[in-house]
Amino acid sequence: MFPATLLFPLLAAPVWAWAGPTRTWYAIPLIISISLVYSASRHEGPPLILRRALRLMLTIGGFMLALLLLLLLLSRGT
Amino acid sequence: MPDTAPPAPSGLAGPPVNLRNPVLAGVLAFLIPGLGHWYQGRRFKAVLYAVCILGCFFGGLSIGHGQVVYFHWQNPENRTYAYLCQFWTGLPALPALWQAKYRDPAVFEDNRLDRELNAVLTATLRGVEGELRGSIQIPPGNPGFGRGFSAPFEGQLRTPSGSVPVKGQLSALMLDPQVGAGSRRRIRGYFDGAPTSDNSGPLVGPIEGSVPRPLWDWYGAPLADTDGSPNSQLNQAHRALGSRFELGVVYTMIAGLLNVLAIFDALYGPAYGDEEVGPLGPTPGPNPTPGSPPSPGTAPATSTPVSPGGSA
Repeated sequence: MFPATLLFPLLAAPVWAWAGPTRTWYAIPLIISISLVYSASRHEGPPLILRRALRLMLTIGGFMLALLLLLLLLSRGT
Repeated sequence: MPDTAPPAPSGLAGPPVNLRNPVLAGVLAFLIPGLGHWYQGRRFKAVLYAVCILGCFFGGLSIGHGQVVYFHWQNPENRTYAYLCQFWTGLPALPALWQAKYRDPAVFEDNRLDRELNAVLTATLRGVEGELRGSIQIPPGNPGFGRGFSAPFEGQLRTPSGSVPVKGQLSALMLDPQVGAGSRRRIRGYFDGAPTSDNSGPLVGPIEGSVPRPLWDWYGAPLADTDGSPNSQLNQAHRALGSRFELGVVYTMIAGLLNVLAIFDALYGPAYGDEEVGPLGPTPGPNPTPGSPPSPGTAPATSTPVSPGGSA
């Protein structure tokens, strides 16, 4: 769990720092809200809700980051 | 259903959740996200739902300058399908229905005043540096096609070097509709006046400005797109906001959809409870009490027969 938890922010920070203020930032509040609400609708206890929400945030964020990296790679040199 | 209803099982292994009156909780959860859970005593979830869902909704509304939640269902090419999702946010989204269905059509007409307009005008005068700001009073009426309202003006001309009192006459004033998107009502016309404190020259020319709209005259107001012209309110909003318009729509739509999850949670309890979920779904917990009826809407495995050994 420890490396997976750190993977997303470690990868995301330099990419987003390099990309600058783009519309991608608008995704972050949505990812957080969706993860928290979805997890809350599945579970009852606050610790479990927060743990599941964090995992979902990392999953969504990691997927988006992978797509972002792919698009950056494809657009290199254009 | 009485408040003393037995606690409903919330999932497989979690403790039962007292849903109190689930129907009332569901209605409250629809009206204000989180309110139904607060009523049920699930305070953590109430705050979480309220912050996340209302934050998304009003965040989206703010990104879209208050113009992205409205209801319009007339022209097939301009139906607000997004509102079908936004609707589920409850009270914050319901004024859009009221604006579209129950307002007098006359309030959406240009250049019409059904009651006296008494407001503070903020405007710019063509060819003059600075901003005119002062009170205007326009009596009700309908000046007719091509003609405008007239009103005396008394206020100040604010420039970077200071402000001077100004007095004059506004004429040929054209007003945006009383009800429209945006918190300010646009006014265009002609100004003929002069500063009153010094002997500088007259201030004459076309003027363009706005007066504030009351909340109930802009919140959820439909964006008019009756003729599909480039100057329609919808096209103006797209030009002014660019992609922020769509972002605002997406934020508010997602807020509504998230509240659907919250409403179901208020009605039936959480889907899984407090057990861990494996790759193939929730792992079964202890068996429910023999003879107890399954609760509707609980996790699929709740209604699945569970063997005495605890495996589904």
